[in-house]
Amino acid sequence: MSSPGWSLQSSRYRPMMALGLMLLAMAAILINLLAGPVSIPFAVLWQSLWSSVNAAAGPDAVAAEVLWQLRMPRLLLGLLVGGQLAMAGAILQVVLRNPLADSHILGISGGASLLAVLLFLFATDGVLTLAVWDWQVSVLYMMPWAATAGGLLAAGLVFRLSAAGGLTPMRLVLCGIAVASVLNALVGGILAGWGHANAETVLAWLAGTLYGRDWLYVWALLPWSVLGLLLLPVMAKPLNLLQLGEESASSLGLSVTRWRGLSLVVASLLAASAVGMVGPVGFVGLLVPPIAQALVGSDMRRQLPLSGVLGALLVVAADGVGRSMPGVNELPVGVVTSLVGVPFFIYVLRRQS
Amino acid sequence: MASEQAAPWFRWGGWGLVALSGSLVLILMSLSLGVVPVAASAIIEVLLGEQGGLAKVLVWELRLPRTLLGLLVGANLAVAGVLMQAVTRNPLASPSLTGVMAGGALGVVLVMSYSSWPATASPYAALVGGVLGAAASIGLAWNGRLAPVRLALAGVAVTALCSAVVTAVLLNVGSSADELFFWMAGGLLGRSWPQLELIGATSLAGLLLALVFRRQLNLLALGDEVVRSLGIRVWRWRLGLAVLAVFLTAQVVAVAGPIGFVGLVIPHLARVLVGDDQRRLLPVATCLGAWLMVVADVTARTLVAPAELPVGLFTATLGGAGFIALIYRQRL
Amino acid sequence: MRLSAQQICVDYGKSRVLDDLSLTLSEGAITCLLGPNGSGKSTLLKALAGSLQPVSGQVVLGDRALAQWPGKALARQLALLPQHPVAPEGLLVGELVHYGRSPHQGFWGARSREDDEIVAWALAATGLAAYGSRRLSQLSGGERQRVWIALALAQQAPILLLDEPTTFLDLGHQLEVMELLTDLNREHGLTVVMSLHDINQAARYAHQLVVMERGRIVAHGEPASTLTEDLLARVFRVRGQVESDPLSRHLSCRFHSSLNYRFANDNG
Repeated sequence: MSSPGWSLQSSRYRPMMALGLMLLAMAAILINLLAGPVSIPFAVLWQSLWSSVNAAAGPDAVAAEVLWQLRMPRLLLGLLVGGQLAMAGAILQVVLRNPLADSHILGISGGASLLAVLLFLFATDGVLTLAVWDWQVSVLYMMPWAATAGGLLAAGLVFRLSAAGGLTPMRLVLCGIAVASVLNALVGGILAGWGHANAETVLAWLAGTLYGRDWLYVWALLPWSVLGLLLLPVMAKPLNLLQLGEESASSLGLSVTRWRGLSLVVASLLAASAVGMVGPVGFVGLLVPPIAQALVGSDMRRQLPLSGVLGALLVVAADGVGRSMPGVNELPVGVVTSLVGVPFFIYVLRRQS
Repeated sequence: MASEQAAPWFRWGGWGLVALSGSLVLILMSLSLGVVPVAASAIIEVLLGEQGGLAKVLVWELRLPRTLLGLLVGANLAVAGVLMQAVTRNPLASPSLTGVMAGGALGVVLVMSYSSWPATASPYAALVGGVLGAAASIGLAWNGRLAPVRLALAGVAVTALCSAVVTAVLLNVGSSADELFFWMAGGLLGRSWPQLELIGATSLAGLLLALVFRRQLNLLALGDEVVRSLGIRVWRWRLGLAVLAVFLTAQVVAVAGPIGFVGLVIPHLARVLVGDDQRRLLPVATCLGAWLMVVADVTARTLVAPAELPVGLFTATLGGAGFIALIYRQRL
Repeated sequence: MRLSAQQICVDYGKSRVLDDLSLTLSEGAITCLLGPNGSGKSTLLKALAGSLQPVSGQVVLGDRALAQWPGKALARQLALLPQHPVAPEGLLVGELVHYGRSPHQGFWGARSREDDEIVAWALAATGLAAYGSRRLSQLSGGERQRVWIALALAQQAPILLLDEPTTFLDLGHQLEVMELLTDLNREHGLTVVMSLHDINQAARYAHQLVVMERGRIVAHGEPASTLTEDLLARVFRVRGQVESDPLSRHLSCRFHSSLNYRFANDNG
């Protein structure tokens, strides 16, 4: 066998890790489905998995209704959003060679939210109703398109601004901060100026929330998740080479400009379509990739899928935590991810000399 | 330079006249424009106490205090920005990018939500929050020196954390959230004499204090060794002036909510106009900040009248453009 | 295959870094680029590797200009080791060297038996056979530099371009790298082009010297005929002697003083 010994070591603890992840995922999913204002017995979940929804009667029927119409779509949407944001973050961190890169900080989220809000403003004739169940289905399906366009525009703007005068990582982040703060102020201003909703709803929107998202949202986002999943195996190898820096990558035969641009488009697409559905959930793309890297190393063929899984888990877990907070309203998932993500951001910042 | 040779009272007098007449024009504009326009003659009559009725309510109860508040808010933010940039010798230091604004807002939200203190306590809550926010960002960014980009990143982190906590608190308390949310959006809508009374005297005192210390600000630009050799206790001055900057910002946050970017962009704009000398920079920045705020407020309430836009929409757009121009100019 | 630059000009912003420069590299030889800081050595290497486009003129490899070579085909002919290569965190040495195989792999990057063998050979050739499963961050500077050379070897390109491969190494590691390159050149007929700071090392290991000054080539040829006292004074601003060791017949320079000393002294 010519198989070199070095590939064995990193695979040694992989089964253990996979098992641990599976257990964590199961726990997070079960807690999300069963716990809440209406506590659902495990038996109802088990039964309704195997039989039709309407079979049960009495309190079990209510429980099954809550389970299938409220919690299941919310869980699935959380998984999709988390996976997309984390993979977008992993791609951005490689392409920009900057551990602080994240769709939130680079303005992609801001651009996506702005166009999403504008779409609703125009689709509803200037009456920005934020009660999510009032929207037309067609508008909902247009949403990921609008958000992706917004994300791409914002990313393009940030790049154009920072490219003049050398595209250094720090300059890029700085331009991202500038563009993002303008975009976020615009979103806040539009919601405050035209939003016909109480403060709680607006606040949750600005932070990013899974509250009230039903199956329609899952179906609207699913094509984008699938598209992202199909693109990822194509991206992994060029991303590996991009990690080596521009000169080495081009010396290894990669057309750096093309792949860098393509990666940014894919990352914007993944992040922006997710943001369009749930709002600017922050710091997932910042938090997850380094953890995935610590677990499986920098080979993107492993790091990218694992980031997706971990991101999905993180968002679902954060949503569970936010829902179980005491108080008048539940905490939006974006607030929880920020509260976890900012200390990590600070840690990364401190570590950078 | 020619102007250096003219008598000081003449130079200062000339510029003062420009500042005064500009401000008067803007005040008049702000008093007259709105959903119901008020003619200049009616304004003068109201101010002389010769007319009552609707014009009096509009001018005296609504627009005049709001305009004066706008002037103060803008001046406070601009001067706070000048002070921070001089103290840290960092072109990106400003109330919104160093976490002062967000820390102050968090302080106000916490006190107003969980204590029974009256609204008059909010400037102090904002001051405490602002000091903590500034200390956190500077502490996080510090690694032997204060690199502009690191400070901005640390400020972003502190701001993100504060706004997450603010959202959590507002959602947690429920009932009083609407009022606080309205305030968090930033702006002068509905602000009147009580708010002006709350911060008027203290803000003016702070602004005057900053003007008094403009020579020390100039010295701080020289670098620590030189300043120390001139017999000035660098850190004491730095700390004092930084606290003054946070104080001025806290006054703004307490009554008008967080208003971003004015404190970042106005000092640089003033620098483009009159150069780095703080003796000229400080008054010019004060004036520009005050004017910008009044113009933004008038635009916010007239653009889509009878509805009113948050003034933060304009300051953020203007400020963001200025921020980007700054990144170019300074080659950061 | 023959690599040559034909009247290339390269600009950085407004300043011209390479000025109408022409150079044909000898196949199967070690060529060293010498010159003071800012003379354009790195830029020339990047232009030769195709990672930098000249504003005029062209670099020709074989029968075609570099711009006409498809990326992967070019990467199978030319390997560049940049001055500051970037290593992703937590990568194993073996994994990194495997990236050198990517120009030979298909779209999906499937790893073949042949790839594994060549990576094993590249590791062995650089004395890293036992290092495959170590983390890059655990290695010393010299070992890390050998890993990068192994990556370039795994690329199996007949032409190897190195930008100051010894700059950040101590003397022992510098000689280690130079001797490795000499062996590779002797055993596999590799064409090696590198920029160096150390004139003595260049004189000792190179078959050909290219001396640059302000974006132009001022001397090109075998060390013995190229390296003169006049050149040291003119290009490097040092007063020195060039001597030939009677036993090894290696050239060496002895430096006496800087001709810029007065200037340096004036600056304080």
